[in-house]
Order: sequence, then C-alpha cells, then structure tokens
Amino acid sequence: MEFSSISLLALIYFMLYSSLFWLIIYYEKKDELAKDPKPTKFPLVSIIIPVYRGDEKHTIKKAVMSALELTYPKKEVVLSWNGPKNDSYHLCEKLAKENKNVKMVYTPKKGKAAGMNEALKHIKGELFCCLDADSFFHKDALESMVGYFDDPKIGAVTSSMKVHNPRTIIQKIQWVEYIFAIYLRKLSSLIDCLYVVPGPGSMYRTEIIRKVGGFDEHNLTEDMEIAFRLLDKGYKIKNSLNAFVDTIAPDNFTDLLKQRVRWYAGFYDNVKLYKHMLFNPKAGMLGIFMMPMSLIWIGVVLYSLVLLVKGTITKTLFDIKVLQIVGFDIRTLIDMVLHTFSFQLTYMTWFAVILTFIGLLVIYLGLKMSREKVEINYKYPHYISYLLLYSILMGIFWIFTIGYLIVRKRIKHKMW
Amino acid sequence: MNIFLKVGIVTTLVFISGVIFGLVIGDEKVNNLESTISRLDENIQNANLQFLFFDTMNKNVSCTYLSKEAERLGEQADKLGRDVSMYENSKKISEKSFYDLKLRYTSILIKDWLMIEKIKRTCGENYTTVLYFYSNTNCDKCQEQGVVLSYLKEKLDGEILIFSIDGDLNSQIVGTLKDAYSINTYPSLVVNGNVTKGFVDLDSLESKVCDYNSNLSIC
Repeated sequence: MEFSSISLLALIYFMLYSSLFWLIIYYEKKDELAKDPKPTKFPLVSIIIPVYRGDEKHTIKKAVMSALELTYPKKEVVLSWNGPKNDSYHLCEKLAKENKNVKMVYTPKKGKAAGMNEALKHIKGELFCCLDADSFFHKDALESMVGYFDDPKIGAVTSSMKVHNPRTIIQKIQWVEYIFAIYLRKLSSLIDCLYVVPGPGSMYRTEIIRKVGGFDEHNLTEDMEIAFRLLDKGYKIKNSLNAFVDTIAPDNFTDLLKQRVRWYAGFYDNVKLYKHMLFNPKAGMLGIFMMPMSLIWIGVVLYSLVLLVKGTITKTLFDIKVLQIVGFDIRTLIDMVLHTFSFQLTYMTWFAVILTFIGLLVIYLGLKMSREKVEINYKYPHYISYLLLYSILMGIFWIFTIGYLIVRKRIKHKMW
Repeated sequence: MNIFLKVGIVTTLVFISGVIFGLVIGDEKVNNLESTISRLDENIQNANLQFLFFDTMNKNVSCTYLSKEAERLGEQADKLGRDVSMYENSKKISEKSFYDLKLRYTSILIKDWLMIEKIKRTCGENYTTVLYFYSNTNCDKCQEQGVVLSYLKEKLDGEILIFSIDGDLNSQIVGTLKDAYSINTYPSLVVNGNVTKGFVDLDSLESKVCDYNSNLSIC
C-alpha cells in the first residue's frame, strides 16, 4: 500500500479512537453527568465583571442584571474597569451608583487579567465568579457550582456555555460547537483533564487564586493559563452541567478568526509553558491523554485540510486541462460537475457513515445534556454544516495561528 | 479494565469492520467484473463458432447477424472498459487480484477486437477501430490522450470502437501486438491498422479518422 493510503487509514483510526473514547466515558459515567454535590453551606460569592472595550456597551447592563437576578442568596457584583476610560466607563459608574450590590474598581492597566487581579484585591467573597461583559447567567447558575467547593482541593468550577441568540450562520455553527463543548467539558471534568476555565461564568476559590498569584497578565488566554497552573499545583477543576451561561459569539468570520487565533496561540503558549506536564503521569489524564490528543488533533485537522485542498486543486486542474483539450463544451462541463459528486462504494464509505453517525450521536447527546430540544426540522442544517465545515474552519484557524506565531517571533527577535 | 485498552479494542473492532466491508465490496466488484468478462468471452466464442459453421459448411456468411453481433461486442467491451477503470480508480486493497483480472480483461479485449476486424473484412463493414496503447508508469500525455479518445467516442456514439491496452502488462499477446505494430512509445494509436506514435490532439484525430472512413457523422 502507498503512503497516502496508510496515512489515511491512520487518520481514520485516530478519529475513531478519540470519538469512541468520549462516547465510552459518556456511557460509563452516564449517572454522574448531571449530578452536582449538594452544598453544605452558601458562602458569599463575588461576581467580577471585567470591562474594557467600547463594544460591550450594549451588553454590560444585561450582564450586570443577570448577576443581580441570580437566585443565589449571598453575592456581590464587582465591575472591574481596566485600561483607558471611555463612554462605557461612565455607564459602569452609573450602574454602580444605582445598585447598592454593585461595586466598581479601576486599574489603568490594560487587559482582562489585570482587571481580574485588581478586583481580587477588593472582593470579600470566599468564592468568586468571572463573568465576561457579553455573557449572562441563567438565574440558578451558582447553586449547582458551590457544592463542589466542599472538597478543599477544588480550585475552580466551570459552567455550561451556550451561544446567546444565534443569528448568522457563523453564530449558528458556533451554537452547535458550544453544545459539543458542553458534552466534552463535562466528560473531561469526569476524568480530570479540563484545561480551560472559560471567562463566562466560571467560579474560583478566592484563597487559592490569591495563593497561586492571581491571573497572568501577559498571557493570551489567561483562562487557560490559570487552569494549567491550578492543575500543575495539584488543585482540581470540575464542571457543573447545570450551571448555564449564555454568551455572545462572534457574528462574522473575521471576528471569529481573531478570537480563534488568540485561543489557539494561547494554547500553544501554555503548552510550551507547561510542557513538563506533557506525557507526565503526575499530571494525570491531562498529561498522558488530553494534552497529547489535543496536539495530535492539530496535525489531523491540518492534514485533512491539505488533503482536501490538494484533491480540489488536482481535480480542478485536470478539468481545466480537459476543457482545453476538447475545447469548451457545455456537455463536458456538466459531466465534470456531475462527476464531482459521483461516488464509489469503498471501505471509506463505511468509515464516513460511522463517523457521521458518531458525529450526529454526539450532537444529540450534547443537546440532551444542554437541555435543548432536538430540533430536526429547524436546526438540522446547523448540525450538518457544523459537521461539514467545522474541521475545515479549524484547519484555516490553525494556518492563521501558525502565521501569527511566526510573525510574532520575528518581531520579538527584532525588538531584542 | 483500563479505559485506553477498552477504547482500543472497540476502535479496532470498528476499524476491522470497515476493512472487512472494503474487502467484501472489493470481492463483489471483482465478481461482477469476472462475470462481465465471462459473458463477453462467451459472446466472442459464439461469433467464432458461427464463422466456423459458415466456413465448414461452405454457406454464405450471414453478415446482418454478424454485424449486430459486432455491435454488441463493441458495446460490451466499452462497458467493461468503464467498469475496469472505475475499479482501477477506487482500488485501495487487493491489487494482486486486480492485476490478474486486468490480464484476463486485456486478452478478451484483444479477442473482441480481432473478431470485429474479422467481421469487418468478411462483411465489408465500415467500423472504425482504434487500438490505444497506454502506460500508467511512463507516459506524460496518456491522460490527455485518454480524454481525447473518450470525448471522440462519446461524440461518435457507436461509430467508433476503442480498445485501450495497458502496454505495461506482462502478457504474451500484448507483447505480440506491440511487436507487430512496433509500439515503443506511449501513447500510440492504431487506427484501422495504421500506427500513429505520440499524442494526437482532437482535431488531428478527427481528420485521421475521417481519412480512413469518410462516412462518419463528423466528416
């Protein structure tokens, strides 16, 4: 067999292995999914809302209100302004003046991490939540998270994030992606390999975060860095399936690309920073499974994209050549287009069917876990476009990320 | 049980099911091709028998019957060629069985061509036949030549019969044909017994074909 066939088979084996891995975990731990530890006490929870961009103007108030309307009894809301002041700053001031449960703190330093660290100096809560200014709590979100902190080793608990009111196709694909993430996050939590504590709605133990030195202000993804640091220092991170938070997702490709390049480059930086955890049995499932798997996935996604692009280019070039040889001919052209979709029954058909089935099953399980209705008629196209487009999008994002990392390195070299 | 091992076992089972599926499908295709080949072989033998009968009994050959037979043989060879190339494109496993199949297919194809040539001569029929020698390993222009030929075949719809022969095949009859027409480069065409070496573009091929048979619809 040629190299291309073997590598394709290896690719399929890996895809099957990783998707079946999570499915088996799901069915083994089915009863634990929605179970959260019952809280024995209800300590004060500070909700920190870091604010710094002008474009959150329209959502800040909604975010604050969602925090105030939480059914959890003991809470305080802290708006933490970081960076230069603008219109939104005055809006925040007004919100703090109007509500006695809302405080405002300020730091001239730029960045969400700086804002979080500034707030950490002022909060009184034994626990604290981070809520991005474009995200909104569901009313009962905190109750299900607090119970986890009875275990003194728990450093953070993550929530279940959903895309708020998806309108564009880009948002709809992310809506499905976030459903899939809810599935994956819970399962990762069950085997202790969660390595991101997302900005919208995650809860932390104040004492531990202060002890480990707060958030890293020079990290692209401080919510991933804090997760790696907590795990590295022996603390645990859990996920509560019942704590729902809505967040506004980028509505166009460029914004999504920017967001993902930041996330992916942040992933690269943090894996580099915590490379001693890679393959290290002391880091548990994270070190021996999750980190290597995530790294291999990058290769898989890029390789699949290369195959797709190569296939398309070869076919197009051949078609152009054919048209040149026979002279432009409409019948030949129609034949070509039809031929593009012609299909041959091979073992690849079998794997494509199995992988599509697993994909749909996972979306179904994710929808069930997220307590969303399984809407075949209305949302079916999103499920399909997610399955078809997501890995291509990921490949594109990774290519841009690699470009970004190269450019960043060059600039750094020049600066030194 | 260790989770990695458990997932490994399940994955391997699913994986093996896919490979088995592939083998079954491959077998099914080989069987299909084999039965098509056998049918064609049978028809050629039938036609041969007819010839023998007319020859031995000193009867006049029934040309209407034979030309119908020739057309049928042409169509069958054509279908077989398409099936073989489809299989060739999709094959990933079991290349050995495919090679054997191709050897058989090629010798049947040559028999078919000979039969048609014989009918042509005996009955004075005006079929245009093209023997197309190609190579998958050592030919830059074969893909393009293939495109030209299939386009022409479609355009002439039944008026022209094309027999594609893989010159790389290690078969005695292919060797004999290559010697007879002194084929040493690819692509090479034998149009109604006349050899052309190297790539022939659409226009030249059309005029060449018309030279030998001006009754064709494109001439």
